[in-house]
Amino acid sequence: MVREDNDFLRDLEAVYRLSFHRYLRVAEGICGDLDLARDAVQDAFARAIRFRASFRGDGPLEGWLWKIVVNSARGVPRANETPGEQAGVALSVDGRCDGPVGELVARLPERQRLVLFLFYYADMEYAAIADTLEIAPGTVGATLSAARAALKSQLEEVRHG
Amino acid sequence: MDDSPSVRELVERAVPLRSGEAPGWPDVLRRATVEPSRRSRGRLPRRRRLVFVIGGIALLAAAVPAAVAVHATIVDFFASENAPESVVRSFASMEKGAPVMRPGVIAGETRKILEVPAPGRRATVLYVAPTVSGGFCWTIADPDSGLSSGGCGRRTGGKMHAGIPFAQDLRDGRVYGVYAAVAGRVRDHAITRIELRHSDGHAVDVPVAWVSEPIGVGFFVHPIPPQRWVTGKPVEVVGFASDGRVIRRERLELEIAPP
Repeated sequence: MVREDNDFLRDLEAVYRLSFHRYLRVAEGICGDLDLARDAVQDAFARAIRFRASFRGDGPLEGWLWKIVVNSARGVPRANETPGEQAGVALSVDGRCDGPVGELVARLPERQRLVLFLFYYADMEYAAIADTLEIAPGTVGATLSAARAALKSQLEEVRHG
Repeated sequence: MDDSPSVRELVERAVPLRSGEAPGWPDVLRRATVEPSRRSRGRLPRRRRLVFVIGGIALLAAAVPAAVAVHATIVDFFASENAPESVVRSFASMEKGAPVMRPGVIAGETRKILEVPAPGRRATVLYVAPTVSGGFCWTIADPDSGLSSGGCGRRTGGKMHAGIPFAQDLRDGRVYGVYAAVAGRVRDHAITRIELRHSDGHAVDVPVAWVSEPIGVGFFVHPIPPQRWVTGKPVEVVGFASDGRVIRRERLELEIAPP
């Protein structure tokens, strides 16, 4: 048991060191603040240690950790948005975003943002996202489509507005 | 699939992928041993934190029965003095054994918990460190002889556990020094007083130091004075409730010869 425990902790530490910044990116997207995100990721791994007995080993360790990281980050209130940051997105002449592009994403409903982050930042498949967010796989696809449509619409508004 | 480059690019640029070394793993281990509700998440203003701390201490003081207040002290683990480097190294060496023997001690978090004065000697010191599995390791150090003795335990288990940890300075088949103490842990808060009864009828009260999270147990240490050091004669450790009931009684025998 002690040997298994030590092996598990070593695996956990390896994932932490290798993938910290991927977890951090998703957590930052959720929290809206780098320091809070860092805190949330460290807390998530601490929770993983405390509740390691709940890891059944029937799926990848990383997947189990994603769920804990997302829940940890969702438990952190989003950082305050200042009026200036909410003002919109500045576009350069070629249409690329130069301003606070995160604000466009930040305006999306929470589920849409979560799905976007897990799809683009964590490179997760629909089934894994569904498992992490505890929603139906079909909902993941629909939510992703809705998020993309909303973002495209906002981009068009900024370009022509 | 509607995944135009502009949307992907927008999402990719919304939150940058950071680089550099991940923050320290030891900090994660430390967090793992502390209940989240007991740790500041860094959002409370300093003054509010202070009010919470003072309020917490007041509540704790109010919750401690009078008998505990007399016979026990409450030690805030993370506010306690860090152990010296030599002691930290000694705790860290526990992790160098065979994997099954490693207790998972977080040596960097070793704290000085208790100093027990003894007549004509420097005070005996109790050091404690948490383990990753929620337990703890401890060492009793005698600065006069340079000897120490310790072990590891869990916060769950019997109401009280007592023993006689000892250490010998053994070189070339000869004993140059010896140290022993009656020591133990209390897990049941109903035990408000510990009494040590020597074989000659002499009895002493031994204070209990209750150590806060992540340790969560009470410790007691009583260095055995030379005049009471009688090999083969039992000593009795008795744990009393506040109303005088005996909750736990243990008989111990000192097998090692006096110095």
